[in-house]
Amino acid sequence: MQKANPHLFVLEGELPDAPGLRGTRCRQCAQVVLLQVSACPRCAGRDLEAVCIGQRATLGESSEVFHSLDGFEAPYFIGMIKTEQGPATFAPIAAAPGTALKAGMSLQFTLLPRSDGRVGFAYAIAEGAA
Amino acid sequence: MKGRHVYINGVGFHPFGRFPDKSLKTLAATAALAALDDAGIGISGIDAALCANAYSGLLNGQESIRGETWLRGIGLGAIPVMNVENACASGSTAVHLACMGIASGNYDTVLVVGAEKMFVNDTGRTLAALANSADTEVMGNIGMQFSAVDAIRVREMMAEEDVGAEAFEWITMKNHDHAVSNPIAQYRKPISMEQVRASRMIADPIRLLMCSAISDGAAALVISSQPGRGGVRVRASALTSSPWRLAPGALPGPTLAADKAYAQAGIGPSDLDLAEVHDAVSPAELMHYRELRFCEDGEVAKFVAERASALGGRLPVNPSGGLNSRGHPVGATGVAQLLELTLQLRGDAGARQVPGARLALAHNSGGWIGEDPAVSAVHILERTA
Repeated sequence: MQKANPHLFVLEGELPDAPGLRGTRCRQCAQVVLLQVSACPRCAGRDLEAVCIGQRATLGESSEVFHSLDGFEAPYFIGMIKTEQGPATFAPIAAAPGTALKAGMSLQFTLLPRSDGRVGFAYAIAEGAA
Repeated sequence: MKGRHVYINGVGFHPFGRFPDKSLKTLAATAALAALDDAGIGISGIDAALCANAYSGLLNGQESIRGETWLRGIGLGAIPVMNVENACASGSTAVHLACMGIASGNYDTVLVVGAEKMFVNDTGRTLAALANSADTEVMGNIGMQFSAVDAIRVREMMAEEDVGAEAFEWITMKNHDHAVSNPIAQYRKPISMEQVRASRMIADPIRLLMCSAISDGAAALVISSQPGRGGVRVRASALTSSPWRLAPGALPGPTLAADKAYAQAGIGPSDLDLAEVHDAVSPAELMHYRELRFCEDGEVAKFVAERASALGGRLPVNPSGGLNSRGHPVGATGVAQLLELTLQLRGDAGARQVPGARLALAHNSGGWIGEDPAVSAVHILERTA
């Protein structure tokens, strides 16, 4: 299965606890960051391990976008999400047009089939989230 | 700023707008020659040139040696020509490098040219080029566009400040009013708050008329170790990359750059007479009031209510019209901000002149990485004559 964002997320089997976002954990200071990095930004340590993060996240602020791009048909939502492990990033939010999204909502990572046959990802509102 | 004093002695531009019949070379050459004429020197007086551009490779098919191609047409050769790409902060980064070259004593006079040609009869292609100014591993293929980045940042500010649609409409109207008398500006007609409100939504809460335009254009400066007309001195040139915000309360990139600049200049924000800030969307200007310490956190609404940032207010912001109305030909933007400040400090800004201006700040942001612009540049200029 070809991924739309090969460096950003991992599929089941690629890393323990996948699917989710690709992260790096420093074995020296336990700092976790998004993506694969070569040195820890906190302690400069180079003893690092690849980890899967962002299986669950919290929504920060978000915006409904009204111009189609990257195969995302407008209107669609983009939000700032904070993963439960700490790193924050922008991500597509899987929600119907006009949904009243609120900061603080619980989110879960979900795979998103793309029209070009690749697989992408988004964050969906977790069941029971207010 | 350490080292020798640095001055801006010449300014020039090609107006910002849509120029389908003009090449990027023509835009850049027009601005460069105008700056040399304004400084009263010829090309033989230039020790080095720095050329700022972000998207010529993607949009115009000239990936390398952009500056060399621009400047050959004005008879310039043999001297060092260096190309600078730093997204929307390419222009101010080129100025920063010119200042370092002069302050260090390596060069006496440097030409800085920023130019961009963004109209290629395909808006989607231009927007895709702009999207390259983020870490494409993170922000590619997720539907992210810069209007949405700014919309989310504006919403983060709205959660902490008592500002909303009315303030956004006013700031847009204010910057269009400012641009009316600016000969470089792309949009020189006033608009009403009602017109802003009626324009279509792009990325909630950002409406079409709040967005900076796609633009063609160029701006140039002659920067020197010796004072020229007006004695406009660069008191600070600060540049930061996106910080790793690992600790709670870590400062954002623009604030880090501003604090560095205030320290270099030995002044505080209350000493400023005017500012040009990076309003890629007009409501972002309100965020920058806090980030650049023009007002305290929680006081943005008061700053707006006092109309402090309008011409005639206590700290006019974006008297040129800002990116929103002057236009945003990406590589030229940071240079154009300093062009405006130089005109203001020399007393040459015409109907938009800030009376008696002595100290002025320019803030230019570029791209996005992590939780901040990838680049934040802050310059402070002073009239010394």
